Amino acid sequence: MIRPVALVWIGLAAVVAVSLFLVKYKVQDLDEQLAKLEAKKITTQESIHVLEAEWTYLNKPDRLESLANKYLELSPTEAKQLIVYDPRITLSHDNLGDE
Amino acid sequence: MTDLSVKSWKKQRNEEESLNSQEGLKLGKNNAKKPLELARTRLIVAGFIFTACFLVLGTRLLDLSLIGTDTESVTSRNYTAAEMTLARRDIVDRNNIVLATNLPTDSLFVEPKEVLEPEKSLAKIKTVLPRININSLLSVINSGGSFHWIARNLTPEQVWQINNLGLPGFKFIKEEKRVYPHGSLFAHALGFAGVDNRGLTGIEASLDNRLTGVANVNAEPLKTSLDVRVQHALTLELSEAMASFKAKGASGLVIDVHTGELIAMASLPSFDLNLYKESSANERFNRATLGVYELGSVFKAFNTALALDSGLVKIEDSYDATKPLKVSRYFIRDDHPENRWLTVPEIFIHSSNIGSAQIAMDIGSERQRKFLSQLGMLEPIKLEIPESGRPLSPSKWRDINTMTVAYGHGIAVTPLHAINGFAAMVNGGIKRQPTLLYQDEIHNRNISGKRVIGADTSLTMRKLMYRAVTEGTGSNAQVEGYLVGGKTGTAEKAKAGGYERKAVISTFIAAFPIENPLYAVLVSLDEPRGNKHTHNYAGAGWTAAPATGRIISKIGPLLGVPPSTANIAFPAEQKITRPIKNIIRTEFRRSESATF
Repeated sequence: MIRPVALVWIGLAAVVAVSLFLVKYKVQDLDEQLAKLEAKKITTQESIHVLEAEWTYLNKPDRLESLANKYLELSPTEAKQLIVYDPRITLSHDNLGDE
Repeated sequence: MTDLSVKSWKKQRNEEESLNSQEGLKLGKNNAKKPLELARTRLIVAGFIFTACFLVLGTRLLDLSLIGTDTESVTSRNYTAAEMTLARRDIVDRNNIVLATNLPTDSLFVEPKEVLEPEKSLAKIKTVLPRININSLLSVINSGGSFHWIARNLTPEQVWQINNLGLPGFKFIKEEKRVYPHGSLFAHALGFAGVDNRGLTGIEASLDNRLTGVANVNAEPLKTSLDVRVQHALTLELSEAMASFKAKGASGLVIDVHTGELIAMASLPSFDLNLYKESSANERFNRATLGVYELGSVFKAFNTALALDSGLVKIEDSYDATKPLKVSRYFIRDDHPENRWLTVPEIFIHSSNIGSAQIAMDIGSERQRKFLSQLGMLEPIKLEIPESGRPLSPSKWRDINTMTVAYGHGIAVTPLHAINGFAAMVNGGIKRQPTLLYQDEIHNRNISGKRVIGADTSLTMRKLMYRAVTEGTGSNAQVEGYLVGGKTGTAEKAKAGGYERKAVISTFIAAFPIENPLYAVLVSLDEPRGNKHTHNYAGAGWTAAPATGRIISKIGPLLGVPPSTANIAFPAEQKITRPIKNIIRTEFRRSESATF
């Protein structure tokens, strides 16, 4: 003799079992995905790291200097090309304002 | 439903029970029925509790699995993301440009037990790695064992080729290799780390503890005070000067006079850090911090500063420099003899040994020794590299020592000592600890130091140094855009029982812009030979000074140093304009004064 209450419990247990089963597989799946992504991330990090070193190597000042001499019509900045902000120089709109 | 039924049932049962007990009391029968009732009650209570518990658990389970609330992340395990790890931290310059880094590489090893045809296999490997020694490896393989290195740190191409050979027993292991992208540029400052990632020289050795320890790839790199661009300019000019004067070696330093940060440090000849095994002892020798030299007249800066600061010598005082000074059996001569009485500024500007020696005698030995000790000239400097030279100074400070020390003989210091002392002379009189580590902008303001001379003495010294460049021995160091002040030093190298006249160390130390110095530059050439451009002179004014000038004109704009312009740097009433080359210089000499 099965009482309706027992039926309800059996039903609930079944639902729980199935959901547990599903959750477990989902987690396993996600774990796999995570591991893959992490591996990919580390490979990418390694690549970035190596590329950074290569970038520095390619930007060595002596190399840049020879390349600039070869391809550019630019020369190193000279002191006379720099100016200093002098508070005594007033901008034109300062003179015009407050009238 | 269950609850309700249980409750109503319980109520009913309680009533029955009380009835029963009353009946039992009254009638004294039905006693046999009582234990059964009790058991039933207990069963019901237990059932009730269990039901409640299962209900709670069931609800929670449903909540977690099917409904899914956001409480999940709180209860989930503490997850840390995987990162690429490095056995050694990067070293970067002050602009975060990589100076040293660890790169992943593969190393080839052999497991002798698994090798099938040792001789054939090794012959095949030799086609990829021509350097291996077949015979020694063959004996290793035949003697068994489980592990033996064949080659470390192979290139990806070599790895690919060896994998293509498909030889059993030959395997790869991931390793890290220290790589220095700038090659020889920072050879002496950085130093190098060996194949097992242990620092052996330079910063790599002394800060080994800070650099090692597995760190993830985003870990803070070690930030040095060096600047790649300045280092390049310095090294380039040094090597050009070295080549044109056929010098044996050269060293150069650029220091921030207000923080003690070394912006560049070079010692030539140098070597590629990536190929440190092929370098010679001479190349590895750090002339900037380990080599001690008698630097000659640059010490007159310290001598003059001490004299003026002590108040024992006035700037208007003059000394007899008409003829060489005889001290016991030695003669003190001038390299640029004026053969007349010279004032204190003139002694400095024309670099008179005779005058300097007399000034030193007026100050006295004890005061001189104490001052040099305060300047740190008598002890090794603790820098972030293990290569630190111990200065040589007189063991007994006699009068003759006092006189020679005044013009930089009889005392040998490293170029680092000299530039650090010089920085204190021009920065307002504060001596600071030099460093190779980047000093934070905020902390820059608080970098503590020790006052060695007064601020007014420092200003006087700046004027004198400016005049030494415009009127005196350092005139070749003048550059477009910046006012430069400095001091030359040409010292004969000591040999057994005396000095060599032909072998000199030519040094020039300069600060710029001298009206408000930001940086000091030192250039020192070891045994330069004069050429026809210098009329065969090898003195500092002809060799080191022009190189210093070129360095300043290159690094000034790089470091963002505003050019010296009379209008802005000086108030109108104290007008000064930079003398343009020789024409104004003669005029300047006539007036004999520099106004700041």
